[in-house]
Amino acid sequence: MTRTALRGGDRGWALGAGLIAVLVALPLLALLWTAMQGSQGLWSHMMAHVLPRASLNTVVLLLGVGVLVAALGTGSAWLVTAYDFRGRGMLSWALLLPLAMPTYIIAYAYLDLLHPLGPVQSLIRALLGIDSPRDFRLPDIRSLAGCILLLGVVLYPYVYLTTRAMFLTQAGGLLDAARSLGVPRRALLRRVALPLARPAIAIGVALALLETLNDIGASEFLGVQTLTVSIYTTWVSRSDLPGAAQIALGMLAIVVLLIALERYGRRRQRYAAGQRPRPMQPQMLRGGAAWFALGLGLVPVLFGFLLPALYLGWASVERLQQHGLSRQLLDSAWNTVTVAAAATVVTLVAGVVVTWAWRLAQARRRTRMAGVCLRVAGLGYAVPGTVLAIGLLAPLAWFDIGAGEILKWFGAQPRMLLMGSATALVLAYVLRFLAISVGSADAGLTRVSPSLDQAARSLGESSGGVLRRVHLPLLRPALAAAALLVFVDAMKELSATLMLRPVNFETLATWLYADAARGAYEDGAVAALLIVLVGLLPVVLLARSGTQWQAPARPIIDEETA
Amino acid sequence: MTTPAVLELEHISLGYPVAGGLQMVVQDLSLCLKRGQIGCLLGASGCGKTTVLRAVAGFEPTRAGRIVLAGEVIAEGDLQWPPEQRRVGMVFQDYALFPHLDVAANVGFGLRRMPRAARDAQVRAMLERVGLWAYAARYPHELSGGQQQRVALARALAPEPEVLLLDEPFSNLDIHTRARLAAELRDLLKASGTTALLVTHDQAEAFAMADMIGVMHGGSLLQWANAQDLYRAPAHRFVAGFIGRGALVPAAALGLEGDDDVLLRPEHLLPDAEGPIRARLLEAAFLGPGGVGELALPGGERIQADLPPDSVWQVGQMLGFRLAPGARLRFPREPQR
Repeated sequence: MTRTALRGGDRGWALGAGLIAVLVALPLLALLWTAMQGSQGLWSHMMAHVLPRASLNTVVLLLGVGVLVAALGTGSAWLVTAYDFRGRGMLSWALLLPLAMPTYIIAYAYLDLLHPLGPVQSLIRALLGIDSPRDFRLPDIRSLAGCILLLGVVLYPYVYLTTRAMFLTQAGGLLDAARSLGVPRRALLRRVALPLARPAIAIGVALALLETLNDIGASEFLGVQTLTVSIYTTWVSRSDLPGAAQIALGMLAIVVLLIALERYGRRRQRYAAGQRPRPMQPQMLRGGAAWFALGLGLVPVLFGFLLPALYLGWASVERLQQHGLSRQLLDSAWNTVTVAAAATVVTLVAGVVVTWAWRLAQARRRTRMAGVCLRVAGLGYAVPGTVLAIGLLAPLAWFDIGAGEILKWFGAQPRMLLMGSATALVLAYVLRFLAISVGSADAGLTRVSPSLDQAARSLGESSGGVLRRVHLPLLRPALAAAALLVFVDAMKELSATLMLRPVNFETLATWLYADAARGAYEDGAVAALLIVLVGLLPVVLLARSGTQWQAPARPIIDEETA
Repeated sequence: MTTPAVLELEHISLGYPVAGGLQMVVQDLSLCLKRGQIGCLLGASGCGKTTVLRAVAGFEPTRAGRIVLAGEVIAEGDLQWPPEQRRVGMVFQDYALFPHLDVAANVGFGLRRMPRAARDAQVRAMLERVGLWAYAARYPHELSGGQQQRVALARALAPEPEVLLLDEPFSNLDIHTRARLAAELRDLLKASGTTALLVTHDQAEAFAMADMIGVMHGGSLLQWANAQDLYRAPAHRFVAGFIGRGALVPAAALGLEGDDDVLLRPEHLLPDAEGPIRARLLEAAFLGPGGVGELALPGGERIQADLPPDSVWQVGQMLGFRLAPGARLRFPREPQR
């Protein structure tokens, strides 16, 4: 019996965690490798004509969405925490509803809603007594401004959540102190609450902008040539993988900036965590003021959820009445569910392995490697789907070539095993959403006292047995919530799916995308409605858990203990 | 003594890895517990006593020395038995009861390899021993702190470990339950013949519970002895100051020969208005029937004395004492700080 006996079981977990971390890091490293392969031919054309505009569009889009979500999110959070009025309880969860609306779906819905021949403009023309669409037209939604508006009204909940949580848990005492120091109530927001909320706003904005950067559908539908769209077209239309990888690297630079912004926001959370939460005392509004507050709060809900959801519902009913459920739609729904379910299972298992290895390492006080694994495992969430897909292409090809050699060895015909398979899709989802399961499992585990592990060990249980008999039962609620989040995120995923899916393999999201890309609005509405309905599940979960929620469950590692 | 040693720590050193080496927490510590003995490590927080416990349980590797349990070396150099293979039970400071398991399942946790009937019988026997059989189906959060502690004890004893470790067993209990539970716990351990090692920072607890007490300071075990010896014959100035009331006073200040320090306990001072030792009363507290006083000798040295019940004392007053007969313990003066 040697020291290996002490750590034999633990080493297996550490190895597993290391393997998972390598898998997550591989696409990012491969991206670098691919980008250095040198692009053929069209690169100079890209540099001259495509990239400058795409970069400018992306930057303006990010700035615009950033300002809009900060304003909408902070404003709505202040409204429901500083004031009390009839309907406030309903409003504070209704403000979360736009989270269920993926960016590509809101664009899809509004494109049709605001089409010159669509219901809104027809109604306006009817009211104004104008006959021809030529004589009256609303400004075209297919523009950068339109894209900013639409992304803003569905992404503001990220800021709303973080800021409201901050107002609810920390602002009370400080606002009281400010008032006793002579700050009038109307000046509280500007002089105390906003400076206090700055970190929370930064976190929310960073998350919303990561989502913006990930978006491919909305910008494509609205005709805004962003970097994400450029990656897609460079690879899919021009088959220029190195070129796409080079753009992807540029996007990663933006991602790093956004993560830095998010970290900056979290920087001081540690200090505040110890304070006992004391909610602020809201001001009671009555009569007209109450109605006005409710109406004002409902504006983002109306545009970000109610209007498009009702429209999708109406369009779906129309479609189903006329054509029934199409075979392809059912197939794509089935594909979506199976791929998302497989990804959920693998993601949960991988997340538990990584966090358990981290826990064992903490007990041994040898945390460096396990800490690196934990952090790397959470990287995928910040990487836009298109970037991840481009990075995955080379490793997938390497694997297929290697497997082909082995197959040849056994006298079998080499073929593509991973490339263009549903497995590749599952792999991409796992890498992208691993942060969710890692974050949930880690948060769950930190609530379990280490003495429970030690008690179980000294009662004769191995590390695997401790996990099975003590921690998995205790983690069940956290893992169930993580499973739901991963499943729904995987179901909604569009950008990586578009690039990695097998030929003729449609998910609900790609089905809708194809519909919109063809400009033929057929089954798309039904697919969109299904996605939104499933997307409501985590929102319900979120609304119920109230302020407990942390921004998309990315692992937050305390630098001091790491 | 013919009773065999169950637990032997031989010159063990313990430490944590830090950037650039090891941060040593415990140096060269040796002690020995015989079958059925209750030992106690006593010291302020941060003295390394809990680390010793964790090393015996297998949660910290030994950096030097070895640990022998029931005649078998369980830790020495590269040989470090994992906790689950040591026959060591542990009661944690927070009791560490599994919140998702009821009391019976908690107690049966370590008996997985037993056949079901035997396991149920053992769980029942353990719970009856701690008087909680009626609570077998409860969950930990439904129990009081004292009951939780007894469940933790039953759980740790169920697999019949060679030695039971208790980490600050009373720190989570209020002061009134402590004294009662300490006596109960000692009776229970003695009745079952359990060899136990506990750590505490509370001298009263150590005295109430333990056969052998080790005073730890700065990672070293200064003395390993029974309570009376610790009090009467402290082997180290720190032990002298730490155990019981009293102060180390330069011999000259008491009119004695020599230039070393003398251990002066309150019972060494007899009130005597004409006595040679004069001291000014700085603080007095009535305890009934008498009182205790904090006094200053003319040289400024602080001493403690018992104040007689039949006198009136006032802060600031000069009191006279003489030394009780008998030899005083002396300790060489510490190098001037």
